[in-house]
Amino acid sequence: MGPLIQNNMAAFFKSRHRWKRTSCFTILTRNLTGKYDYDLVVIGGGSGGLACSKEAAQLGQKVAVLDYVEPSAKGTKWGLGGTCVNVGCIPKKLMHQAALLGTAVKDARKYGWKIKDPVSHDWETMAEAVQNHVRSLNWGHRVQLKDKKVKYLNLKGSLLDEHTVRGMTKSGKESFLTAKNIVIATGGRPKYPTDIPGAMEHGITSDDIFWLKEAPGKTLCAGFLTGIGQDTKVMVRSIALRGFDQQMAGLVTDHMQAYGTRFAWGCVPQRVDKLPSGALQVTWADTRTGKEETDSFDSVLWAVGRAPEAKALGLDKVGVEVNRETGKIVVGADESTSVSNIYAFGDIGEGRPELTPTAVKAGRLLARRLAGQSTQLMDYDNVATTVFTPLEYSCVGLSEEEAVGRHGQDAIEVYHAFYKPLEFTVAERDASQCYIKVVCERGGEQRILGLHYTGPNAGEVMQGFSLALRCGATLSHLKETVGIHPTCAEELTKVSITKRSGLDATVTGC
Amino acid sequence: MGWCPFKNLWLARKCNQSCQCVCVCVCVCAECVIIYRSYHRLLIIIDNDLVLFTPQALCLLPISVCIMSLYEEVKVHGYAEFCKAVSDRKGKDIFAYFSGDKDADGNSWCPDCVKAEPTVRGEISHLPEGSVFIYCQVGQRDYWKNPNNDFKKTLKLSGVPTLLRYGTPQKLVEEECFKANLVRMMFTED
Repeated sequence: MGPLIQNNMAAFFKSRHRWKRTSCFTILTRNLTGKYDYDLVVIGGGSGGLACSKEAAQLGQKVAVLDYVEPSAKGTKWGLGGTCVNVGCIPKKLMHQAALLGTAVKDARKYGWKIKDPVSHDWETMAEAVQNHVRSLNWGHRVQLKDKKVKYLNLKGSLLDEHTVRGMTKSGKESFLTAKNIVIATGGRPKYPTDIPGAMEHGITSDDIFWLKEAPGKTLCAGFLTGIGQDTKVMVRSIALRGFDQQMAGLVTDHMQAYGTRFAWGCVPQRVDKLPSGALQVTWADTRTGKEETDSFDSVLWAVGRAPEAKALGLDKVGVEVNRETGKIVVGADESTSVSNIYAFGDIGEGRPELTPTAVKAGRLLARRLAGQSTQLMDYDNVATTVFTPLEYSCVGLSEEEAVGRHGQDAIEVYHAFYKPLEFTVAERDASQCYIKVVCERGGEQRILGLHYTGPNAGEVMQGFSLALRCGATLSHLKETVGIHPTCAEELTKVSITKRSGLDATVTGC
Repeated sequence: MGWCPFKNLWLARKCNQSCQCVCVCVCVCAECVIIYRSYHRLLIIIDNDLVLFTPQALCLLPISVCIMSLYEEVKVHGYAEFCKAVSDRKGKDIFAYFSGDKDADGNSWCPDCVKAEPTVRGEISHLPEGSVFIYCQVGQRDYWKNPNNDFKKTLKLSGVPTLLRYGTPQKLVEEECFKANLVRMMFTED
């Protein structure tokens, strides 16, 4: 036998082979220990899916999560983490910050900084930095899943039956997993208008804008672009920020118009054509004048709503009920669907807020319930949210319209104030749209029903107040609270003028 | 039994890959992976140990083998050497492991580095083909403690040991390097 063998004979008879891994798929057989391959399979690796799967694994469950990104119409795709990390919250806030810094640089001169004109913005630098950060988050999620022993599969998941999930690769190879419980957290994708020729071929959506290699140029739609120096026009069919308090929405759009974003109100796009120069020609109907208009743009961004990622899931085959109108999955208060061991939450759930923190929290609570560790349900009420428009708008609780609808105009009182952030004074900035509104009950303790704020750092301002609402804060609680001076947030504690009084609500002096 | 080291092998089932000086083939017994390195030596790898056979001593016993990862290991010391090693290898998939300096006896001042190294070395066979593994000693403890040292300032390292994939956000820091499954994930997954 071989004379130079240093290892002992046992080495020759080891049966374990370790071949260099190439991607291959094996059909998983039924687990020897239990009936199913997994205790829990989560379809969707976004904010909700990841939170749920990590929590379940920590509680001792055997979990697998499937995440797959169908490329956008323009071919954009991204890594693990879902909408928030890749094409939502994170890149949005960073680019919004880029725009705010642009404004701050202009203000800086008034504060004594010697900054040479012209100050210009380089899209590529910003995009690369944002994309690098997103990629580090993708990696962070991969590490976390591996560390918590959650099996991650980059496959497009669909339901075969109540306990079987089919995973498909890009090339069509199939594999199957069986699970005791299945959770659907596939979220949504931006809609393209279906009736406008050229919309899909020539337009982009939020899926694409954060991953563009070059600046979008003269664009139809998207607020932060004005802040970084792009010529921007927003076309609105009827109202802005549907579903939000419309008075606040109006302040937001007024501010954007004052700062250079052009608005085309009551206009409905009809077609998009590509010109020989490469620019896009958009034709629209102005419902106010009845005329047809055209203009050319470098980019057209559609922001006309989001559609749930439910069509390819095989839901009807398995009997999971879906809302006919919205396409979202009908869910109970405990995120259950019409099939007993299948659950759904996050953006895919009918009637649920399309927000990351609610999906994360709901996912964790669901995991705990499925592991038998808790019975606590997710509370979707009084969830604070912020719209990161150039003038930020945050709110918690009911809008004025909702409060009137539920309680009646006579039973509610609205306190409001127009204020001016101190920082705007030296910067000589217009603060006409910085506004606060407190909607509360008119009688009894005057419980606060809703808080609304437009101004700088809206999200930071509102977070603490959302806690107050959760604790059942009343108007006197608010008025008894001593403000921090000088801040914008303190104005919330100083409201005293009611809308009903008709008095001027502009705050004057200290 | 014919014998020819490159492509014309004795009873070999297939010749899979070849690069510069090695040729990887599967033996007809279906369990041996043979790597031919140069004309007169046959290397078979068993459990990360290289076992050398001369052609005459070759046998066809079924043995467990691990394919030698066709990667290049580069040892550097200090920031300048690291940068040179990287710039000399443009376009390659570079993995870098940063550790505190080892003394004459081979012991590092950084206890976490001592703990992590066997784990990282243990997974090294999973490095992708054609990749580069740079083992970089960063310097003495005092150099490292200085927050303005080049590694911290320019490479943005926050601690040692750090294992990273150059030019990507993929990185494992400190305790993460103790976990073989994380190291393997970095080496094997995209």
